[in-house]
Amino acid sequence: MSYELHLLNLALVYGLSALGLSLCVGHVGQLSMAQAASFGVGAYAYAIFGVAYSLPSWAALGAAAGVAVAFSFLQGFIARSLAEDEFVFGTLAFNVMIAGLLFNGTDGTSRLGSLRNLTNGPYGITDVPPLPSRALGAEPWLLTLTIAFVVVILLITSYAAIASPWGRLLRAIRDSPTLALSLGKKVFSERARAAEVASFLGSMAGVLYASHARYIDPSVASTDLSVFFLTCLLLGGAASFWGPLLGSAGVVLLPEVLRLFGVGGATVASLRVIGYAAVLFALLHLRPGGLLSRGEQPGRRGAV
Amino acid sequence: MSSFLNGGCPPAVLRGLGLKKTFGSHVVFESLDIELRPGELVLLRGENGAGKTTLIDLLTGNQRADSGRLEILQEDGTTRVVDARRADPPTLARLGIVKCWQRPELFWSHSVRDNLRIASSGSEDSALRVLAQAVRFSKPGRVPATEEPDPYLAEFGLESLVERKVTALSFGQSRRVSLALSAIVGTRALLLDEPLASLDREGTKAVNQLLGQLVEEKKRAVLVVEHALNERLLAGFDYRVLELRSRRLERKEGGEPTSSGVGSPVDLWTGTLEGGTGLRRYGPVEPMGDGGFLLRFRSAPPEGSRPLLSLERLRVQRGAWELFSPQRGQGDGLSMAIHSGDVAVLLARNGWGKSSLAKVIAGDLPATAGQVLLNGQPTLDLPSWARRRQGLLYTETANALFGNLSVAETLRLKVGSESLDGLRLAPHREVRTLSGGERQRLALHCALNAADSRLLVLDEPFNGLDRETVARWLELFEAAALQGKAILICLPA
Repeated sequence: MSYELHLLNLALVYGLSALGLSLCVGHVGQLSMAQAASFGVGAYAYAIFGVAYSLPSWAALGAAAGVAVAFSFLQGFIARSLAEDEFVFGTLAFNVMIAGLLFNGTDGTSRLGSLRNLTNGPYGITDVPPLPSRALGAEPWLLTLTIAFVVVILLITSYAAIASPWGRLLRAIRDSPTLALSLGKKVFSERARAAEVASFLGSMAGVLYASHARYIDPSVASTDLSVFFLTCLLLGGAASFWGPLLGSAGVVLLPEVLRLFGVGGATVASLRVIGYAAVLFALLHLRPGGLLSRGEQPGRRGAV
Repeated sequence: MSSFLNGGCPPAVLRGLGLKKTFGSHVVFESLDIELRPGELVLLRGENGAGKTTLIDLLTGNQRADSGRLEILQEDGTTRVVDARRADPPTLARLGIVKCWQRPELFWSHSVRDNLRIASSGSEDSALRVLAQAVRFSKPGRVPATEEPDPYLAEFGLESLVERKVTALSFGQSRRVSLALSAIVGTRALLLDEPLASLDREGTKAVNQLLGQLVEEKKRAVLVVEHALNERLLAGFDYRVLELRSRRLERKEGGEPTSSGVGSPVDLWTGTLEGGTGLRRYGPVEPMGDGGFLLRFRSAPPEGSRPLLSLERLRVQRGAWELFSPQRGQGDGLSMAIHSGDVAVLLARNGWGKSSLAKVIAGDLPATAGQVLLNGQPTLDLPSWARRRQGLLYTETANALFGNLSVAETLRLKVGSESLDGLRLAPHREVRTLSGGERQRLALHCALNAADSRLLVLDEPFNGLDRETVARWLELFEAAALQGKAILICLPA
């Protein structure tokens, strides 16, 4: 049973991160390559507060949320300053930088969590406290319930944001930044807001991931993971609410489906990569706007 | 304010003072002053490249000036001064100064209602308010009643369209929605770049009515740039003319009364083509079905030769509609024949399929039935480049020139010689630095002078052109017709 819960946890966590990313990519129309940076920073913040400073799980979650808010302003700054291609490369560079900091944040000897050894570098951090508390131990049911609880609260808030006039304004900016500007909309600030919310949700997903995996290393902030989140998002449909959630569930469950066909173990890992590529190609061809799109791309129309 | 009460001119709502703008070594304005008063329609005139669009952009913050300032009179009577070097569109929009583009710019994935809501929303769409609502769990996502933009709809006659996606609007309707968006935000001054371009009669009427409301009832200051042949469509208005000439604004008293009012499109275009050239209308007005007409002009009688271009029962699928079909009252398709020496003018409403027809003839769009014959040879199976080799030349409204080539390079590529005969453009300028009208001029020049062309298909060639250029094109049309070429011109009516 615990394997199914393991998959469910992953689907929830990735879904939350992909949904956050959808605000930036699908709604306001800026392709961010730095969602894993937020994910990794959230995961590390939770782990460091929980392990090095021995905070109780809930307190570590709260403190990590504070770090997530602070970190989101960095992502917001990038979104405010750069647009289009420059934004893609800017976020990619930012992600590489954060991953590099996490990888090199150690001198090998000092105490974990001190300035000289903030992240333990490539060795990662072990024995990360589980949610809801260390005392209750790593009970799979409790962990899944807690993750689901946090995710659902954040999803409801996100849903409200997406359906609100603010969400509508974001999509309007995606359609025509020029028109939005000339109607008095603060396009650059709104892009920053969207990137901040995206980053916050990504960091919170990272926190939950750390409590689920119990061990983290710098790969939680790798650019591969950023691409993975984009894959989840594009699979499901970047500008819908359910799309990113569905896409993440699909990506998590795809190897299990392959297992049904007698493909398992180490083969899965390599097949999975090919599988992603095949599915992505098929999807981009059949549904350019994602699984939940109606098959048509919002965009220009030709003069009749 | 006092002068207004005294019956003098009301104070200006928007003033541009000492505006200077250069592009590299090219000086557009040295030190330009302009003022717009409430309840006034101003027509901005000027040669192509004189800087009409640039001036609109400077006044709305879409481009930044090298020096100068903008003064905006606010509702409370105070004046707000904005440095024209640092002006940006949101700041000016919040002060009620808005630009409207020639090509309707809309939020394409939204409905008409949402487009209007986005324009009219004040602080409802702020992220902080949304967050506060979410924290209080106060029915998030519900649109507050105060946000309903119904009054706007009644004013602009858009009630029947509100539920539609803007992608499902006709060209004329999207122009109206686009103007409505600008008018919602532009509570002081509206600066419109060719608001009547490409509109048919009905669309022109609707937009004119809207302009009238804005100027007379709402007392907005409205500045309009319109190409030479469309000025006559403003005939019903009392407007002031400003002319941009050699980097300065000159005031002209009243519009020269051109043809009075809006006559029938057939008379209008007959007058335009016959005036000043030896071209004369020839044969009857040929109905093309669905309200479209074909007029023929020649300067020499036909020699009874085989037609250069003939269409036989042509039908075209465009999106969900089949053009030139029985459902549109056009029998079993569109047929016409154009002979050597013809200058044929196709007049039809927006949505009739003029641009689609031009594309089918050129080979950019497939036909579902019928045939296109060039010199008597079926050409529907030929790719566009092969049709070009047979002497067919097609110029789009938004013409395809290469932005990084200079004028001289473009001429060498498209015409084969660098002769600038009558073009009035510096040969070294890069195409992307040309104004909209200048580009149109260059594209037409290339089309008319290409040595091996025999049939020209021109889609709305007069957009963005000044008076002098229009007169010159008409002469060139005549010359081309005398050489035995044929021209098909598509125009909205």
